[in-house]
This record gives sequence, C-alpha cells and structure tokens, in this order.
Amino acid sequence: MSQIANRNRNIALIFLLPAIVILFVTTIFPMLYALWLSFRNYDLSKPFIPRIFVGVSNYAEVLSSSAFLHALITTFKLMAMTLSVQLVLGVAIALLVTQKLPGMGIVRTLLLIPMMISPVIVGLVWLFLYFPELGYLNYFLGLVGISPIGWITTTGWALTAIAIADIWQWTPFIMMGTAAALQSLSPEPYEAARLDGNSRLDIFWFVTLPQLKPVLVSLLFLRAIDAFKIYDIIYVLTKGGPGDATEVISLYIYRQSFTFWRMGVGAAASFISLMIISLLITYFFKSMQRSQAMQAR
Amino acid sequence: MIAFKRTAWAACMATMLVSSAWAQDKPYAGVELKMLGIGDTSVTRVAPLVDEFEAQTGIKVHIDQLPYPGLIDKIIVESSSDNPTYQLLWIDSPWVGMLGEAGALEDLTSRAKRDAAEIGLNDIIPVQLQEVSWQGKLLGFPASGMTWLQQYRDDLIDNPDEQANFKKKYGYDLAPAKTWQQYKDIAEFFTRKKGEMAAGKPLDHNLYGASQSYSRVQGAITHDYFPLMRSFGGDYWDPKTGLCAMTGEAHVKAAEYLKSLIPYNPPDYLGLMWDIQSGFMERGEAAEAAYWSVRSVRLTNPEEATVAKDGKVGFAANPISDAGPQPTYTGTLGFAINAKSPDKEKDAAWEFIKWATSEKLMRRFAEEGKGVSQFRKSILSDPQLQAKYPYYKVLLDSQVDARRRIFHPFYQTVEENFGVELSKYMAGETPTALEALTKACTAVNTQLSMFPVEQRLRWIQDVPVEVLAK
Amino acid sequence: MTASAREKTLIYLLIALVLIVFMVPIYLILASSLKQPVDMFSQPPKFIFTPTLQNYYDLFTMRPFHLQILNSLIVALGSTAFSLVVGSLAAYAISRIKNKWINEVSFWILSMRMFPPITVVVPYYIIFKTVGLLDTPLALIIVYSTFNIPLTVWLMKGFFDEVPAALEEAAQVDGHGVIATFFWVTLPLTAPGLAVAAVFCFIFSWNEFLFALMLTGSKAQTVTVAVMSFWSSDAVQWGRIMAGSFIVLIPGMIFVLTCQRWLVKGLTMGSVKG
Repeated sequence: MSQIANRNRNIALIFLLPAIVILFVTTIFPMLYALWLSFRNYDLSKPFIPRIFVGVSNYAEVLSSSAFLHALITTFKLMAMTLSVQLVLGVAIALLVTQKLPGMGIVRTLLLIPMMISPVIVGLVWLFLYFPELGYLNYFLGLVGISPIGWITTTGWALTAIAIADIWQWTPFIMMGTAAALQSLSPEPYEAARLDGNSRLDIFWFVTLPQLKPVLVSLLFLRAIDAFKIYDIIYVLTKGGPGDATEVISLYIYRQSFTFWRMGVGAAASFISLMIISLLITYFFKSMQRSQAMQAR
Repeated sequence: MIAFKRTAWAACMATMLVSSAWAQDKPYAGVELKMLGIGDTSVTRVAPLVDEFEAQTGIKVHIDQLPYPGLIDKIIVESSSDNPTYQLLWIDSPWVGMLGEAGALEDLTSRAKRDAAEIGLNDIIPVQLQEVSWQGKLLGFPASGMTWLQQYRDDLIDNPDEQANFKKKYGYDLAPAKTWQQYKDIAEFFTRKKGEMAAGKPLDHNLYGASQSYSRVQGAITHDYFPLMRSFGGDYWDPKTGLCAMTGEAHVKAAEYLKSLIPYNPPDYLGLMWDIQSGFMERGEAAEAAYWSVRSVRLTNPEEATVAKDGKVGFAANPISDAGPQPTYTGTLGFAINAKSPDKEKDAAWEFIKWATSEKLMRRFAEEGKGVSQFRKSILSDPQLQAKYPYYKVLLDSQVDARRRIFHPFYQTVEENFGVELSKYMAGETPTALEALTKACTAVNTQLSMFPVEQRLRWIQDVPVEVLAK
Repeated sequence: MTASAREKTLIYLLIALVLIVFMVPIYLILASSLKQPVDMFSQPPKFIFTPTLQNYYDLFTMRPFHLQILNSLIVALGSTAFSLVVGSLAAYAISRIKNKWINEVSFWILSMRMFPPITVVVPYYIIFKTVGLLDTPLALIIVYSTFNIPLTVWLMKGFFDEVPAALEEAAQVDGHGVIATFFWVTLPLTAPGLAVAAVFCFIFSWNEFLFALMLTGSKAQTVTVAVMSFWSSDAVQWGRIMAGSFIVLIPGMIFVLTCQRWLVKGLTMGSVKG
C-alpha cells in the first residue's frame, strides 16, 4: 500500500508543477514592479516629476491615512453584510432548486443569470432601480404607501444599497456551488437517517451541512476575496459617495493610482491590503482547521 | 521599328507622368492610422466616413471607440510608452494641461500656420483654439466646440397667464433669466406638483424649476459649479502663488447659490449624472437647465426629446451675477496627435484632422441633422442653420467674450476633490460652503505645494495661443 | 426525496418568489434595450412603451460587435480550458499531499487572486507591449488565468477532498495506474465541481473590464469594453448598453447549459462506484 501511496505523492507533485510555474512566471514581474513602485514617488502622467526613491514614506502615508482606514472599515462592513446573506440565501435556494421536481433545471439556469452579467452593467441596472424619483424601487414602494428612500443619495442607505446589488449578483455563485455539491453527495447517509425517523431539519443540519462544509468554505473564501476587491458596481452606482460612505479599498487605490496618479501610494496601499486580507484568510483558515480537527476527535 | 520604339517610349513616359501625378496626389498612401476615440458624437459622426477619407488620400484610419470612464487612464498609459499604438487621440480640453506638460501631444502650430487657409483658421472661434492649447502651443484641434449655456421652456415663459402671475408675485416681467436671482425666481415659480396648472393645462407629472447636477460621479457637480463660480467672479488659482484659491467670497457665494437651487431640482439631484439631468429638460419636466451645448441639439429633435414637440425650448447665455458680465465658460472636445509617433504618421494624422474638422464636413453634419456643437463662425452664422438650431446664435454671440475652462495639469485632482467636497456640502454633511471648499483646496494644495512657485505660476498662465498671433 | 403535494406547491411558490426577485433586473435590461431614448427615464417609470429594435441595430452597425463577441469567446473559452486543466491538476495534488509545505503553496496560489488588479494593470501593459502581445486575445487569456487558476484550485480542492482515497487505492490495487485512476475514477466524481469551476472561470473572463480596456485595442476588444464604449463623454447611451448586455447573455447561457449537461453526464459516469 505504501508503495502506491508514495508513487501517488510523486505524481501528485508533478500535477502541482504546471500551476506553480505558470503562476510564478506570469505574476512575478508585475508583483516586483508594484513593489518597486511602492517605494517610489511615481506619477505616470507627469514625466517631469523625478521618480525618486522615497523609502517607506508611501507605506507610512497609507497606514496613517484616515481615508485608508475608513475605506478598510467600509470594505469590511460591506463584506460582512454581503457574505452572510449570500451564504444563507445561497444554501437555502440551493436546497430548493435541487429538489427532484420538473423544471428545476431551467430554474437553476435562470438563477445563474445575475452572475453572468458584467458587474459594471449590474451597477447600471441597479441605477434604474435606485434613482429616487426616476427609479423603479421607489415607484413600487410608493404604490404601497412607503415614501421614497434615497438609496444611493443618502449616506445611511448607500452601503446597504450596494450590498443588495452585490447580494443579488453573487448569491447564485453560492447557490450553484452548493447545488453542485448537493448533487454529488452520496445518498446512503440520507437513507439511513430517514429510516431512523429523523426530521428533515435534523437531516439537513446533521447530515447535509457537515458534508457541505468543505465546499461552502471554499466558496466563502473565494467570495470573500472577490468581495474585498469589489469595485465596478460601486464605481457605477455611487463612485464612493455620497461623501465617502461607499469608499472601499479598491476605490481608494484607484483614486490614488489613476486619478491623483500617485502610483507609488497606490502600490503601497495594494500591498498593505494584500497583507490584511491574507492575514484574515489565514486566521479563518486556521480556525477552520482547528474546528475540523476538534470535530474529528 | 523606329516608330514602334517611339510609341513604346511615349507610352512609358505617359505612364510615369500619370503615376507620379497620382502619387503626388496621395503622398501618404498606404499609411495606417489608429485613433483612440470615444463613443461620442464628435467621433461617431466621423467614423462611418473614414472610407471616404481613404479614397481621397489613401490613408487608412481605424477608430477605436472606448468608454469615457477610464479613457484618460488609457491615454496616459499609452502616452507613457515610447512607441505608441495610437497616432490620433480624442481629448477633452481640461486634459490639455496634463497631457501637454507630459509631452504627450504634438505641437500643431507650424502645421496649422502653414495650412491656415485650408483649415480656415480665421473661421474658427478663437477661444476654441485657445481651449486646446498649452503654453501658447496648439496641442489639439477642435472637433466639437461648446459653451455652458442656459436652456429654458420658451412656451412656459411666453404664456400670458404665467407672465401675469409672475409679475404679480415677483414684480418684474417674466423673461429668460439674465441674472442668477432671476434664474432662481423662475425656478421657484415653476416648481409645481403633478396636477397643478402650467401654461393653462394641468400637469401630468411633477415640474421642476431647474435641473442641475449635484453628483460626484465623474465630477458632474463640478461641471455645474465652475461656470457658476466664474460667473460670480471667482477664479481657480492665486495669481501670486499658483495655488488653489477657490475659497474666496465669490466661490462661497456660488456654492451657496447652487445649494439654494436644490428645492427646485428633482429629488434625484444627488445621484444625477449629466444625461439624466438633462433628460428632465428633454422630457419637459424642467423649466430651466444649464448644460454643455453639446447636448442642445437633442432639444431640437422630437425623436430625442418630447419637449421638442410638446413644448418649445429657448437658449440663452448663462445668467450673470452681481459681479457683472463675465467671459463665457467654454469647453472643447478635440483631436490630437501623439507626439511620439513617427513623423510620416504625424503628418498623415494631421491630414485626417484637417479633413474631419473641415468646414465642408462640419457643414454637412449640420445639414444632416448632427448639428451638435459647432466652432466655425461661418456655420454658426448661417441663417438657415440658425433657424434649424436656435442655439447657434447663442454660441456665436456668447463666445465673443469667452474664457476657457480649467486646464491645469492637476485637473483630475481638482475635479475629484471638489466633486467630493461639494457633493458632501450639497448633501448637508458639511455645514458650510467655506468648509467644503477649504477642504478641497487644501487637498489640492498638498500636492501642488511640492512644486516650486515658478512652475506653479507657469501652469496657471493662459498663454495666448501662438497660432492666432498676428 | 419525495414530497407531498402540499410541499410541492410550497416549494414552487418559494421558487416563484425567488425567481421574481432575481429576474426583475434582467427584465429591466431587456425592457430598457427595447426603449427609445425618450422613454428611458420618466416619472413614473414607463412600463408600457413603443418598443424598438433600433438599439440592437445600432449595436451591430456602430461597432464590429460580432467580432467583439468572437474575441470574448476566444478569451473566455481559452482561459477557462487552460485554467481548468492546470487548476484541477494542482487541486488534486493539494488535496492528496499532506505535508507542511502544501498549505503554504495553496495559500500562495490563492493569494494571486487577492492582489488588487488596478496596481498590476500598468506592469502587465508594459510586459505585453514589450513582447508584442498587446491587443491580442492571448494577453487576456494569460492575465485572466492568473485569477482563474486560483479559483479552480480552491473550488476543486473541496471536491477532491470528498473523494475518499480508499476508492483510488482500490482502483490501483485493481491494476490501474495513478493517472488512469485520476482520469477515470476521481475526476468523474468531481464533475459537478468542474462544471462549476468552468462556469465561474468563463463568466469572470467574459465580464472582466479593467484589463480588457487597458490591454486591448480594436483587434482584440471584448464585448464588455464594447458595450461600455456606449458610455461617452456626454451621455450614457442606456438603450445600446442594455441591448449589448442582453445579447452577451446568450453565449454565457449556452456555455452554462452545456456545462450543466456535462455535469449530468459526469454524475452517471460517477455512479460506477460500487
């Protein structure tokens, strides 16, 4: 048995090689370049400004910037709102649409459409919905007697409005992944549990959910990484406003790099963000592993 | 035998003469040009005609139409490279300072002077050439010349009932606003709810007195603010230090005035980008509006604006403030040549620019209904075209005394900071205009103060464009 | 799982509710694409209007839209195929190898997706310009793969984790080689994961905007940039943008449907397990 295991492992290592080589080759230059930028005063639009080495002053500026901190907090607030709802909604809908009833295939396909639209267009469509007087949402609210809400024009609602649009677009992501996982689960534990007379809720909680966990974790991590980088939807809907209520990290970096053309600062902010999201992911990853290890015991 | 030789010789000579004449006709035949363009009328009306240009000159032009968001970013990235992909660039005049200082654009002065007769240099409204210049050098050529002008509902203002009521309420005759106070009065007067009367008929939708832009998206609010600021007598820069000086009395008054118009604006005001804002006028839901003349043509076209058939739109120059008449606020969309392209391509690109902005082609566009915003005096003063596009007269008259809009290399910084701060003030987050303007100015000056004062002063100089010097 | 008639009705009702909520914006896209400019915005919003196909006509006459669709297809399919192959292999390795380095490696792979794209646009521009790959589909395929490979790896790892090693060892004891086992036993069991990864990779590549804008010109321009190019300096040409957005849903839908069928096929293959 161990001979097979060994051979397996060697071949598995070879399987790993293409990914590592390709990713390394294609990303090493951009990363090094960005790193180089982060230590310099670099304005792409003004070649007459000397691009001198400035040590860690870009990093210092970003770390002490209240705008950056605010962007970070806003991003995390948004992530918390969207990920939690996407997870619950996505799993719930997945359960619904994996029932073996006629027409489910079509429903599943239809529900994928929001995810298939470019985030920029999603932003534009939700503008149709969110305009205070010209928008559809307030029109429908008006029909049931609710006064118009300033979805994207008041600081209180703006972030929620973005969250709703994002949830609308990406819940299908969780749904599709969960549905796929549900369909590949083996039926035996279910039959056993049902024969035992367990309720459906119990079956879901104690049989289905634990089996879904690895897939859900992967999906959530992927979503978290993308949610951290959220950009296009916000750019179109509010461009960080009103005020700076929806200014997220990506917008902060875009402004530094392409509006103010301070690419060194933008690069420094990028590396700081990378570090922050990495730390977060690592933390959650480790706690996942710990809880898995505890469960195994 | 000799006869044959002579005929053959004659035939050879004839062929050579003809082909050399043909070649002289098309010195740039075979050159391929690429244009970094936008999906804007100034480009889309030219794009379908590039085959005609090729037939005339042998130059093949390929126009890429890119989105406006991100366009300036792409231009900068392209300009930073030493062997460019694009020889022709579409530019918005505020970018001229940044692109000019970066050396990205070719100086067209010598070519323009050489071909002055061909391009009708004297026919072009002078401020339009000034708009695309930097430090006296002509760095672009106008393709669409515009001013910030006023639009109003002629049918509402001309209505006798309205006139009577207005005179009773405000004590003077109802007429297109000449001062900002009048503009506000008219806006207040015409802000009515659905069901109320207007021009003798009940309204089937809400009517708003004015439609301005208060959104920070793409700096839209600054498009409304800067003409106001200039009209109140304010300027962008301190002439002694070259730093941002938009915190004076005039600037504060302008911001407060813009805020005071909010009650007469549609409730969407904070979220409105330009075309939706002007859409209120187009649907007949606003009594007054101010906007770039580049969209004015829509108000004369019943297919694009219901107000064109249900109502009537009049055009006028921007109102004035207590500071008295100020030079009209202008803007230009233009074509420029990449300074880093090889000479032959630059010359071919110049041929394209001449053709695309020629009087002949511009007149053809006007006659075909793509009136848009012209910059040639001969076209703007043509009586037939004036009848077709009533705003032509306004464009012509108001640009006699005109000054270009902001052109500083740090334009984007200004637009972004003022967009955010002014928008916050309009939303009520920042209590006073002075605070908002000061915050914005400080942010701009943080970047500007890193440069020596001589450089800053050079940047704010509006050096008269050399090509117009006599 | 059987359900009584009442349960069935409840499920269908819930699904109808979900569908309505999710499809309203899609309806808006379609409706707006059929509206004339005057009808686009109004108070109140217009539900009844005279439809027109002018926007669709403009789409294809004002841009080489069919070519741009082709470009997007090449880029999306290319990156998807490439990322699926490279990514699944790597995911399998990560799932099976249990040593202390593997977590670091898998984290490094995932971190490729974490870096803000905005900062790497300029260096990628420089690289591709230097090697002459600017304005080619290959440039986008390469860049998108740096995002798609991590996604595939992380998605497939979860699915590979669910395939018991005992199953593979059994197959190998039966005399099948490692690679054969991988292809004929393991992979089919993870077919749903592959379908999901394929769909996600395709969609990401199909809809990406920033890199497509910066790295392409007319030859390799994708539909996302083309549709957005109707956002000009004086107007957002809503009708045309919505028309373009609606049309580009079609290739996406076709791809997803194909993957779903493959998913079913994979399931039946997987049922070989005893």
